[in-house]
Amino acid sequence: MGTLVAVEAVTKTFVHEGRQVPILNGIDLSIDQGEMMCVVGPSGAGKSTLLHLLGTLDLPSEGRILYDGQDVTTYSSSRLADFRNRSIGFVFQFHHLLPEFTALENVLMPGRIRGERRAELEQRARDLLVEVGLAQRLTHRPGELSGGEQQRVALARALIMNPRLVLADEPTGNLDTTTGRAMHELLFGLNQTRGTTFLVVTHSRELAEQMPRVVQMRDGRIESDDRRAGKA
Amino acid sequence: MSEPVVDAALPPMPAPAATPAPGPEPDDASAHTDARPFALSFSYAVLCWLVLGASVFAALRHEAVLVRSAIDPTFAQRTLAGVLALVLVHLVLGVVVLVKHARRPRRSLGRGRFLWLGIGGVVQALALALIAGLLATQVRKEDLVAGFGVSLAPPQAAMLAVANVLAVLGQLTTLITSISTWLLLQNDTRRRIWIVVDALLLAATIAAVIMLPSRPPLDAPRALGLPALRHVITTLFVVRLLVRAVPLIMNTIELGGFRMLVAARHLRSKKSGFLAAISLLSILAVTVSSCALTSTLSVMGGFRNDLKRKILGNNAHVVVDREHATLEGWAPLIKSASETPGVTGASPYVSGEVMLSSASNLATAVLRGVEPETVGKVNDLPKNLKTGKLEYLDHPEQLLDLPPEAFGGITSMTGPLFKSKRDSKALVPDLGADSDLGLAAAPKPGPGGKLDSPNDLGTTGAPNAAPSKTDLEDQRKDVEKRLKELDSFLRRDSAETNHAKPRDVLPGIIIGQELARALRLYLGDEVNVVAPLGGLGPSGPMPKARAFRVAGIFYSGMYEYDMKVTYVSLATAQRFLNVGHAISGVEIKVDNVDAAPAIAAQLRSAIARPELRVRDWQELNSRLFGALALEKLAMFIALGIAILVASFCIAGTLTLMVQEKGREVAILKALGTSDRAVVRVFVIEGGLIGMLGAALGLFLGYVLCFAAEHFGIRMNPEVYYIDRLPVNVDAMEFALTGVAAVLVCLVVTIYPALLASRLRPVDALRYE
Repeated sequence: MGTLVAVEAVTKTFVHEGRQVPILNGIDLSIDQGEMMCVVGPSGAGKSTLLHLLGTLDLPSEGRILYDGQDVTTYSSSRLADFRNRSIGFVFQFHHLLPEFTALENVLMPGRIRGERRAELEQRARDLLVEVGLAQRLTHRPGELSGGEQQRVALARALIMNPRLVLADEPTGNLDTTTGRAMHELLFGLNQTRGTTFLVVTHSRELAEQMPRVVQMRDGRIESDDRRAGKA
Repeated sequence: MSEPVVDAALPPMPAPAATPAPGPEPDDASAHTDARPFALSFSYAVLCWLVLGASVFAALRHEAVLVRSAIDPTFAQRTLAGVLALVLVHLVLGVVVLVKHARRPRRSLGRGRFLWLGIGGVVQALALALIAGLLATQVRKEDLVAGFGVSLAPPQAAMLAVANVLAVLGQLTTLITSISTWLLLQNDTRRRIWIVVDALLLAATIAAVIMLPSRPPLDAPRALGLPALRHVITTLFVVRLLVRAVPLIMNTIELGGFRMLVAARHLRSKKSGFLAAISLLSILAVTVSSCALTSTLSVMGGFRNDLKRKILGNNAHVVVDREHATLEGWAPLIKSASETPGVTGASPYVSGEVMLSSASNLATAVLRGVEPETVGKVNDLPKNLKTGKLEYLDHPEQLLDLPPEAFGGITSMTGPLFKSKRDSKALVPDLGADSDLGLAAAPKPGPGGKLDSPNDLGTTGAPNAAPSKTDLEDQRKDVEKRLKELDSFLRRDSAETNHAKPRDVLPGIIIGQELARALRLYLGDEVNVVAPLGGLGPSGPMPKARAFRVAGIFYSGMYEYDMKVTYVSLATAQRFLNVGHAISGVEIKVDNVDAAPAIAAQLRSAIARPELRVRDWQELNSRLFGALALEKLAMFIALGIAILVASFCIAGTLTLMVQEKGREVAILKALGTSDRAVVRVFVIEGGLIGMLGAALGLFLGYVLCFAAEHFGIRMNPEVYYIDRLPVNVDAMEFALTGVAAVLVCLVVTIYPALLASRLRPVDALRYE
């Protein structure tokens, strides 16, 4: 399988009270199509920042991020928005659903942003919600759902546009062990059935052990990058 | 340690403490409360409101009730029995509610509310019974009949006051608690109640529209009750209709793509949407300002229309004349003017500045010579005549022998001579026409014959009139008797001393009401008219004077006209002003006043005499209407600024909303929403707030204008020369105001919307 993303010599520096605070110090990483990988490391290692850069929510201070050989750091903001919409799905730690919309509408949202007609999208969204086990929760608002349910809605939303890469920032960070485990199984299942590429930032040792590829980060550098061929 | 904390959280149960707990989330809480056992209590809550209505009614009518009771003892008994029956029902129900809910377990839902409802109701019922009893036993019949009202001995009076206070307190308690019981109802019960209320309202509206008049009958302009009721019902209906329509409208808006969807959902959210205090306030601000703007513009438009109507009524729509000169050979002019399409009448006129002098006063005026037979086609003079007739201009001899009914009401304006201090415009119908005529003619036997210049004026007539003015002022009955004597005496006197013939045949003149008042002239009186440049003497132009006889008095509704314009026949004016057969111009009336400029242009080419000016009414009054338009524009701008200020409110609301929705904006952006789409979402939100405010404002403005137009805000005609506030509802102005309000609101939303679009998703997503 070909390379989906190539991160080349990316650094990220924030300016805090006039001082340069380096967060990422030269990251090189490439992610293959259909790969399932996780990023681990202590707090402040730059995991989330790397995720945001990969998701084009933020731009690197230096370096390039290539998707299919295209440097997305040079895109205009509206082109980036369109790119995110079509190619990247996000699952955040605090599940970030839109509180005014039902589960179904939340899942539909990326398609609506794209301007697709609701009728065409809706079947896909229903199927996805069934797939993540929320067939009975379509018209519930986020406030009426449990944490695990919300996270599964977020996952369905991330998948609705059939993105090539799904970025998950501690998807099980605030779920209990059982719910978290169910979520992990869901991720692996989706990776198997759909061939979606997943990059998961996690603190969960359990999840990390299951992953075919684990990237360890420390102080803004990649400390190790292990591929376990036998798994997944 | 933990025990007391728990106790504090669950305070010992005086009833009210229970209320806050279920209060905020009635929707969820009521889910496990069956409404049916509460039916009685809810009915009691409704009854409390009915009692409020009854007590307000009783308070408004209490004097009538008391007085009638004093006259008719059975009425008193019946009233008392009715009140006691009501109080008894109130009391029994209150006690039942109280007992029933007191037995329920503590902290059960709604217990506190109903306990307070029962307590309030029982207190109120007892207080009402006490009041009724005190009034029934202590009020003395004689006092009521004599109109002294209610007077009680001090202890009873104190008791009555206490009872009143208790009744009011009880009522307040029941009202507040009964409102809060509304929240105990389940959602679908509430919905059903609303359906019933709306159905009743619909039926009432249909009935009101069919059966009730929309404005008071012409013969009883004060009977506003039924029309007001109709408007109240229809207004309530429209309000309910709007409330019902809002979700439907929002649903429709949501169909309009993702930006509309997001904006509409934000506005529907309970926390920060329409219903949040700040949004409501900004809607209200727009509502109030656009309501103020439309109603002010409508009133100004009303004044303008009133002015226009009066000007058009008193002036021709198109005037053909020659600058600073008279024109000859006007017969073909009239002919070609009459043949122009759209022209309904044409009449020649001569005009000149003159001075009028009566026995008592002196005034300047414009003398207009008109053709009595055609002048009615070009202005409203015949309609405006209060007394007299146009034909007297051509046949002044008829003025000498006027039938009493010719004087109509206005001759009795002699009244002011006697009662001017009491009521300046009062008419005195009980003075016979006979004495009026006599008196009107009496004080001025001299001027007609003797006076040639205004300087002598005022000296001759005054001594005769003076005693009658001062002596007879107080005792009008005496006056009437003595008037007749005086009258016959003066007649004889004038006939013997001044003239061989009692009165000359003089050319007739029609004057305005204000001028008549200023000069103290009445129909048939003589008046001296002086034209400053009328005659040619050896050393150039000389003043020329001539006596006229008042042939009519008109009231045009415009002070300037009533004070300044006088009409005589064309031939008389031509002779008097020494212009030969020339005229000053031709007045023309058209069928459509707005087409006047076009018709004027047509006339110009039809007449084909370049030395003549053809001007339409707008041109003739361009300064006046220009000033009005400018004033209106200034008002529009000033009140438009009010809308702008109101729109700042919207900007503030949106800025707060952006702050609050920062995380959601970040999510939307992460999902691929472009900056422009985010801007649009917030602009749409602001626009919707503005539109709602503007719609409400326009509706309110319309209701205000409608009410002002149909129920009339009375104004002092002495000051404004208009008896009620004129209102002109112009759909165009309303539309313009609405568009302006929405545009302004859209413009001010741009800043907060940009703020939202600049939010970086990382910042909002990283920090929770």
